[in-house]
Amino acid sequence: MHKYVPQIKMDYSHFKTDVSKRRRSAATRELTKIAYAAPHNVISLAEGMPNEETFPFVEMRVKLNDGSSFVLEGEELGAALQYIPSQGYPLLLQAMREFQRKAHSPPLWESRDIVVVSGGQDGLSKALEAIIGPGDPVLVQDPFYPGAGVVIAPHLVELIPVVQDDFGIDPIGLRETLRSRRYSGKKMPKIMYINATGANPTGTVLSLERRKEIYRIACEYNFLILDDDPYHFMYFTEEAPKSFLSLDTEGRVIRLDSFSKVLSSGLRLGFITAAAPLVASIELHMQSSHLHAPTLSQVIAYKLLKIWGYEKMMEHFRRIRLFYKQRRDLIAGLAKKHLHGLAEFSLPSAGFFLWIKVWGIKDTWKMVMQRGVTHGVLMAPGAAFMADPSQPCNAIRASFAKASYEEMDLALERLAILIREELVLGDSITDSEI
Amino acid sequence: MEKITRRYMASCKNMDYSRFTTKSSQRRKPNLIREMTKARINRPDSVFLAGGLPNTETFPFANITVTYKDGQRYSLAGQNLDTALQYGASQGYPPLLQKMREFQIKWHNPPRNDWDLALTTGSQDACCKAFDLLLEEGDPVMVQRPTYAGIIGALNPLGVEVVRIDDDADGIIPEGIETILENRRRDGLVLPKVLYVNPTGANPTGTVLSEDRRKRIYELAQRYDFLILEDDAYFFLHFLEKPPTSFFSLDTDGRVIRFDSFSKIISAGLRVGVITAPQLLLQKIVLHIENSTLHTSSLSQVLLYKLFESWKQEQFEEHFQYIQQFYKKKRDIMLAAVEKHFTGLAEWNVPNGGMFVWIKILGVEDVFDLVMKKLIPNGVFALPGNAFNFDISVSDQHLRLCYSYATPDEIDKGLSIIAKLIREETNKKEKSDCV
Repeated sequence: MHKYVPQIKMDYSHFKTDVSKRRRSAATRELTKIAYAAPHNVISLAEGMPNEETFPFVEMRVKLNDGSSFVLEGEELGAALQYIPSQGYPLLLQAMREFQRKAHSPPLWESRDIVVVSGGQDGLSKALEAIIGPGDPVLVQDPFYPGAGVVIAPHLVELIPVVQDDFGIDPIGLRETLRSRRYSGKKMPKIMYINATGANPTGTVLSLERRKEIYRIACEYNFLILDDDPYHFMYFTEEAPKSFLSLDTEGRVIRLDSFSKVLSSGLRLGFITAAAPLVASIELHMQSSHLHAPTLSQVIAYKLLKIWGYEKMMEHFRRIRLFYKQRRDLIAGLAKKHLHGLAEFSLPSAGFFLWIKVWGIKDTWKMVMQRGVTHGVLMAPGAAFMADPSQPCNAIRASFAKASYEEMDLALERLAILIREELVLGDSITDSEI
Repeated sequence: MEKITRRYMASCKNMDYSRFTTKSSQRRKPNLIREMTKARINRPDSVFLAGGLPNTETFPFANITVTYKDGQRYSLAGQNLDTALQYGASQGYPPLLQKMREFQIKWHNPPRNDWDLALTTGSQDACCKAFDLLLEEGDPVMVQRPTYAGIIGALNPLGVEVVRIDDDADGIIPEGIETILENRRRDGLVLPKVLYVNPTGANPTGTVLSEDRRKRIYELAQRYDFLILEDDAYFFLHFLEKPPTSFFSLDTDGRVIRFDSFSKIISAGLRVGVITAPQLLLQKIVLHIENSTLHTSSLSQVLLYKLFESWKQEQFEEHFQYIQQFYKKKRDIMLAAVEKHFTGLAEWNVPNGGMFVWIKILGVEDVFDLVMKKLIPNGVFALPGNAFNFDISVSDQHLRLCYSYATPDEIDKGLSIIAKLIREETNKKEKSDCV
């Protein structure tokens, strides 16, 4: 078991919403926890688990691409088909704790814990809903991932956009935003939402220097950092990024990992690593919502981690990096070929996306959403990622993760035609505006 | 989906659902990128660079082979494996959705056709999303008492007013609902918009709501204009001659939201539940799914679909019968042991569904300390009735005993220990009363 030793001096109740503070544990779920930890001679008439003897499966055999395989049967299959404690399948939790410790060497490790969530978006929504209540301001990198926007949209929050350049969020701009906000007496943000590696949609990777400075600012202005980092291992830079978690000397980082890009998105597995009191809040939310992430998925992930161990996992990540780096180079080459004189882009340093800025067109929304659809090229209009989507935006996000070379070639060729037509249509910037 | 909506417009009177939904749920917006996936369907030759789908080539799985109890074997590979490992639609895996729609028609023969369903990460996920959709802070909501602990956990943080509806051996009492609503009306209080109920094998009491009561409660819903949240995880786990009539099958108005679960009959660990609701409400639930869990495990959904595909109609019936027999036998073993050990010490009803016996311990005013300080240290776990009250500090005389898992020997031993501890407790009390 993970021994929790509180070494953090932060008062997390300051950060939690009223709804979150009202959450109580469900007695039935607490019992599942106790029952899982209890010795075998205990007679339990308490938890309402179905009898897995009645389930129609007898064996699951999983074969991996590297030729290795594992079998779930008997007790282990029973466990995979059964309810488990909300925090996660205990063996997977243990394996992930070891993994996180090795991968990030986080300070204050004994004060932190992990909860397995049902994919990154689930983790994102539960983490944000624990912290952000009606009227609360939240810092976001601008542009930012719309999956975070839709979580907070119902709660009437105020988005504080922080401008980015080719290297991600600029700490100087961040500090300036906060200083002027404090000066004008406005409510200060409790949390910042950020993708440190492979920012969605721009593909930037924050430099270590900037990470350190942003962390200092978080300490100074007392906010939490929600680092939604599914592309952490999918960087194309020389050096591996150092996570905010590994810099977190005060316990203010909520780290969100996902297996969706590296093992499988269909399994719906994500991980929140944070100070134990924050993890406990999220676990309570799970107790009253989906109870726990799918057990079968968790057991499969555990078996895989066990068979592979840390080194083989890292090897897998290396292969993935190479795979997507090649694709990035392909799309960049194609973009140069087709969009020459029409648009500009920076080479993404991580992730799945190329962020293209179109010249001479004020807003790409209509072009992409209407004419793009009829032209047979589906990309995401830039405005969808902006903190204020009502403002015109000349960018487009194109994914290079899945399409074949021929498809990418065709898509960019069609995009070039689309842009040229758009320029002719006159929905463009007039000379005087340039 | 569009087709269903159009049919509905033509055939049914409209219920105005806007009265029932919260302001915050009205502010929910779709994730544009996920919406664009739909645009692709209209032009299949388009090149899709809009989404962030990972490339399944990089996933480490070659195949997953499942063997069912009847000896059949199914191997997920190629395209099917890709589907199982990849992101999917928020509403659910389309073939499984289609199968479920057919099942709902077969099992419930619903009077309307403007409903649809979605697959959720277990049925409690759906319940919690329905509460979020329907209940503002301060809103009254009718809930059967005692209440499943997970529902207490979901409702309490919302700051709603819980209006408790009492039950007896036949489930919640319609007259109780009527009296409460009439009194509220008389006192000028807001009437609840929602009733939450487990009609079959209520957790924790094991009651099955009688058909007559279901009809009367539905009429009350019409008269007082409330929605019925029918959380029916034990629908297939009843011990009656004929299957109960669901509220969904009585729903001529479109005021029932039904929750089904595969957890008790196929597997709890797959985390697949089903929410069936009027189309207009369901769309909002799907939006919430899109904003949170995204969708339930594709692997779980594909495995379920393949299982259902492999089963012929008789095999379903056989499986349900087998489950009912299995738990009925367990219930009878538990009941015999309860009779043997608790006669004179407790009162109980025979549960007609579910996995629990709900017993009232006589002579102990509050079982909480008995459980925590006596039972658990003596190696027997049972749930104190307090866990099913919104206020856990209120005294409760009940114990919930689960019979799904324990062996006959364990049940006998467990109950004899509990009985002994109850006797010690009541003797102590009598002695102190004498003094």
